[in-house]
Amino acid sequence: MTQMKSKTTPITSDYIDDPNYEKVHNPIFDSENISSFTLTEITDHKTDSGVLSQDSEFEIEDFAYSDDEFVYDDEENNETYDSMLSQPIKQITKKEMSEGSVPNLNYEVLTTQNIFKNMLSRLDHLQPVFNIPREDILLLMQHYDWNEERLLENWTERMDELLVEIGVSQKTSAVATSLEKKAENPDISGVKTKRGIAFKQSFECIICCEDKDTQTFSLECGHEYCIDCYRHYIENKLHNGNVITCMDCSLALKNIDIDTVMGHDSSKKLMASSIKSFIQKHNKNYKWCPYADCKCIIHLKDTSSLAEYTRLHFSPFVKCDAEHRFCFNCGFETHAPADCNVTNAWVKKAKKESENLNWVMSHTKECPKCGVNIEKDGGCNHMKCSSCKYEFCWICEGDWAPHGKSFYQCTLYTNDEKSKKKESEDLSKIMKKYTFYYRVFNEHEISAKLDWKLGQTIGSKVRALQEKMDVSWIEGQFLTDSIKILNEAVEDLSELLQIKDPEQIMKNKLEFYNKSGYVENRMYALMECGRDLLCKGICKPTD
Amino acid sequence: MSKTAQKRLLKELQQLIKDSPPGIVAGPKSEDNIFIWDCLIQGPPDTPYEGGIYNAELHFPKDYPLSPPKLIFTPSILHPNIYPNGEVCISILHSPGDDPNMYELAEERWSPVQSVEKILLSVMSMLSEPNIESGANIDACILWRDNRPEFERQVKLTSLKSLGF
Repeated sequence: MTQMKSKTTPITSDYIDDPNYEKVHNPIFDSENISSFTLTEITDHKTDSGVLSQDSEFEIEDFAYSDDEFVYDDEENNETYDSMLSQPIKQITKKEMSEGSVPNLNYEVLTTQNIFKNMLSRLDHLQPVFNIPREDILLLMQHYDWNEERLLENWTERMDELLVEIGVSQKTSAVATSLEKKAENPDISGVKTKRGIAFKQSFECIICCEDKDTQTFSLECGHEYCIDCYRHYIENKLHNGNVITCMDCSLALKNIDIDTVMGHDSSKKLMASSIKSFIQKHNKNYKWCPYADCKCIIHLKDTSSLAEYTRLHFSPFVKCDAEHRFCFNCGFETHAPADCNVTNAWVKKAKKESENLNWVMSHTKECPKCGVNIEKDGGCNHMKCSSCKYEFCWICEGDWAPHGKSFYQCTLYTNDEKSKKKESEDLSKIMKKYTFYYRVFNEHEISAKLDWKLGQTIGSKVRALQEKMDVSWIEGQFLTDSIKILNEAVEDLSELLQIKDPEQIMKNKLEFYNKSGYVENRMYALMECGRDLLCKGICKPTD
Repeated sequence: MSKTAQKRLLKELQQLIKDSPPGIVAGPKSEDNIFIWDCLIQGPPDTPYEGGIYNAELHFPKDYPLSPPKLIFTPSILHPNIYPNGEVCISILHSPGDDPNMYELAEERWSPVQSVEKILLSVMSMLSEPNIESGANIDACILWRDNRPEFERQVKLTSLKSLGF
């Protein structure tokens, strides 16, 4: 529970201001001791892989928004340690959800391939409307950034112009609507040209000016270039996501043409970049997972509820397929109970301040009297503060007067408790507050990391116990079960701690005492059991 | 890639020497570097630029002709489509992906089949018909639109200067 308290404090000050808060908390702190620490710590760890500074609060909110249509909810078959830990939270979720404070978030986790597949299936629906080959519709869709409505609107208004404009068909005097007609259309020079690769002897390409025997490529327009130039040209355009056209006219290369020229399925790349620009344009509904190298995209169909989240100071947390949790609003990792604004402010401050702070900390010392930051840029250790004229020793930060001639004494090693006391008494308040919280924040980030490791170790130890140490399955199961029950209890307890309403706190006081007592007893029992296992030699400690 | 570019540029140079369009002279600035060209462009007749001869530099990228070159007037001249630093802003010098508004048609954009000759011809036509809607030099745009005589006077002055008067 130490974690619970210290983690919430930096972000929500109203816990501190609340007079009941201390009352509620003190009992635990009294009963807390170091040996119990390790056991309670596990509870804070769930399935998260990379997310730092998580605590149980985060989970509750997080899951409250998750929906039943969620894919992973069905995947509970493998009873790993991780899924075991996440179970108790789900129970809380249901409770929380029934209160119905915030609307649920309906979202799906996608990848560019998924989105492309969706587009293709939509294409099937559109096929009867257009009555042209799928490849051509794909071009139209790509050109219109996958915006069906605009495409259909323009299509009904001026379909022939559109076909020419996008480069599906050529500009001809006779209006060509059907594909056969198009294929038959002679090009400008009057020679019928076939779309595709041909082999020409001593072909002079006007792009690279090479005269050689080479493969060439051309569309129906007859603009023919050597395959190398075409490859370079296409390669250059793939990342744009725009429709690639013939180098000399607006006739478009279809995916199949691109693949023929490149010799492999490069059109996939083009489609992916096209989808990416689609996501860019619809960044209200689609968000990339902000984690490095994560390819997941979260699609939120209905963004109307987001305003409600902001209003209630909640944050719409989502989880991608790789179990990365982040806030849909601001893109930061889960940051409950702080809302997006607070988080943003904190991150900004931390970024800005930490650099200043690092410099100040490493280059300056505070005047022991007035607290002004002093940078020593030369000279001896006899310092005189320029703002309050206080004379002191740079080494020990004590008054200079007693130093006299024997100032070398303070370079000798002594227990620096004294100087610590003197230090930081007159610090500027804001800086002090900030550094305090920054340190707290950092420490917790570190402990969160360590705890996660610990959780993993314990999980693997339990498994090892079952497999190697000849402990029967039932006994092993007993241990896992016990930890699980303890987890649940701690989760319940932390839920109680989140009650902000003073009246509610009084109401739940008894429940709280019961719960904390229960947790404590349970913990001791478990520890005793562990000790027995060790003492009786059933288990041997390994590294 | 830069080998292709060199080859292509040499070819274009030969073409230009053999049969250069009236009013245009162009060629590499020095023998060591074929990627920077000097051009002399004659002001088209019946325009304020008539009688002037303007110096411009063409900077070719290493992946020419996939990417378009840059054309910079040295010194800069007063024109709605020429930035104050001399850089020319016309559609043929942009690749199709560059224009987010799709303002310019794809055919008018840079593609590997365009050439130095075509660029310089476009510049000549740009000198006679400025495109006010996508202006590079806003002051010149306003002057051109609102006070044509003053615009012409200033252009004449610069062209006289360019000839050393």
